[in-house]
Amino acid sequence: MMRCPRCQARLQAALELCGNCDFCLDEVDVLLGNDPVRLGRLTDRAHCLRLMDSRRLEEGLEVFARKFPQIFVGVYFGQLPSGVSMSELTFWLLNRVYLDGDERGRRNEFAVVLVVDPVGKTVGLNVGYALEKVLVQRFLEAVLLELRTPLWHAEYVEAVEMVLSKLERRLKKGAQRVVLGQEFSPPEVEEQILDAVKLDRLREGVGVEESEILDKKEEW
Amino acid sequence: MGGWAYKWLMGVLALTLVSMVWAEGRDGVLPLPNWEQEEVQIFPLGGGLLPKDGEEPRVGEGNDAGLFIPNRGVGEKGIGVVVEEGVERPLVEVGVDFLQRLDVRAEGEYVLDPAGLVGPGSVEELNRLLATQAEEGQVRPHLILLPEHHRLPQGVDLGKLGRMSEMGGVSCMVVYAMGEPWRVRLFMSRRVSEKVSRDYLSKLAQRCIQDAMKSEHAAEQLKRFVIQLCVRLTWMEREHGWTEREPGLEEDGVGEEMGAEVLEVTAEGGELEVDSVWERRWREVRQWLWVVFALLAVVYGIWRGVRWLLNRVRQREQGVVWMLPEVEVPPRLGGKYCGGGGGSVKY
Repeated sequence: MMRCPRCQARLQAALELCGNCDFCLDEVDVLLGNDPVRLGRLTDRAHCLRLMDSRRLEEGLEVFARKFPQIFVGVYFGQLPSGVSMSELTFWLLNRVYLDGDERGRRNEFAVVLVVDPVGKTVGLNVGYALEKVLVQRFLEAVLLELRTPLWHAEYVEAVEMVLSKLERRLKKGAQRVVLGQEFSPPEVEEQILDAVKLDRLREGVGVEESEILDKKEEW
Repeated sequence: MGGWAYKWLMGVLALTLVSMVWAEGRDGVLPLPNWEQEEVQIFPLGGGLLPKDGEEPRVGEGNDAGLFIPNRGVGEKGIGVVVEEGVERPLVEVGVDFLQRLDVRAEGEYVLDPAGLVGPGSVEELNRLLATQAEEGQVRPHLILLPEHHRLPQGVDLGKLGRMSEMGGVSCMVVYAMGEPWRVRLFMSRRVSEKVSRDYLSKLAQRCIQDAMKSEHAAEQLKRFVIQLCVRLTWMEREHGWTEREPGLEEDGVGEEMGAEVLEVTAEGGELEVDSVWERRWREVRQWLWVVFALLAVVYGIWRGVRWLLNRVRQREQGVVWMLPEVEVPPRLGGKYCGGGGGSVKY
């Protein structure tokens, strides 16, 4: 069962406001706005990653995206805005992020957001509705606890790779393994080709004897 | 494993292979002097312990120990010499006190070591070996130890030597110079010489010397000699049908006055195959090289197999995706795509 980003109270399904603190998305919109925001797979606003580390993480995120075509994982390194907690920020990001470019085919319900504040030494992790059944609250809390040690040592790459590895292992349990489609072999016979593509012949000259063509000419 | 591990493994494999080929090749190029034909014929050795018929041995009779090492050491007088590191040293006769101490022999004592060349523990062990042979076999071996570079005096009476004639039975006396197994002499009683050919006895002595020469330490050489002697005496008895003690045998002895002929056996007449230290060590190293090479080949094969399997799995996984089911979740807290949850932690 999910918890309120503000007061951590257990949430009942289909509630507009938190039963405990009356929290909702609008309260965060007031502080951060309700316009869509672009979020790439890896955003390093805090400049805590070296070029080599960034490439390595992007490669890992690329592999993950290839294995799970529905899921978008966004990793954000940046300072937490004032007045907003990490849970509220991740909640707001998942609802306001706009996926474009290569991620356009994915949906926010299948998104995972990992936000790291190296200055405030806080890390947040949240998932969309479609992943709640697989990546349950307890699992997310366990992952966050394990993140503390590598992040404390500033091992950001190892921390993110650990998260990806745990997500992959957990998601495979709830997902179905699908082999990518085979190459299409076109039929060899012409008629079968025309039937397959639903096209008619443009001219009757194809397959028609010459005498028939001459007869038609005389008629015209 | 990365590329560096692969290169390291290939390097070690190549080095092992080269070492083995080199080791094999060395068999044809021994660091030993080439033997001349004459030297091989008069080889070995043994000699200087007891000249024949009281005469001084002459060169060419095969009694000169100096001929053991070719192109060296025949003394001026033709008397046996021992050559050590290019220095000719004539053999020294043992003194009277040595012979007197030989006479002090207790019952059941088969090893006579008047000069105290081996420790009491070793003497006991050798004595036990010879006593076992004496009890279980027909031939009773006795061992007299001489210091190195020493010989028995000329004209010494074998029968009285160590009171052998009092022992009786079918006997074999070995006169062994410590550290110089090639100089060993075997004396067999008449019973043995009548039944066993000289060639056989010569070969017997030869094999015992060869076994002793496999070691570099004097004590170890002696032990190997005695063990080999006991074994070969047993074989000799079996081959010649000696299964039970013959009656009247107790009167036979070595050198007794009833005219027993003492057969003096040396290891002459044959080629003594003595391996050098170098050859022995290379033989051992070669065996281990094979083992190392086989192990490396196995490790390499396993590593390649694992890599191939991993590559296949990786290729198969590249064409595989994981699809999650579509789940309808009623929205919460006004969020269209996410309704809270997750968490955060300070580190």
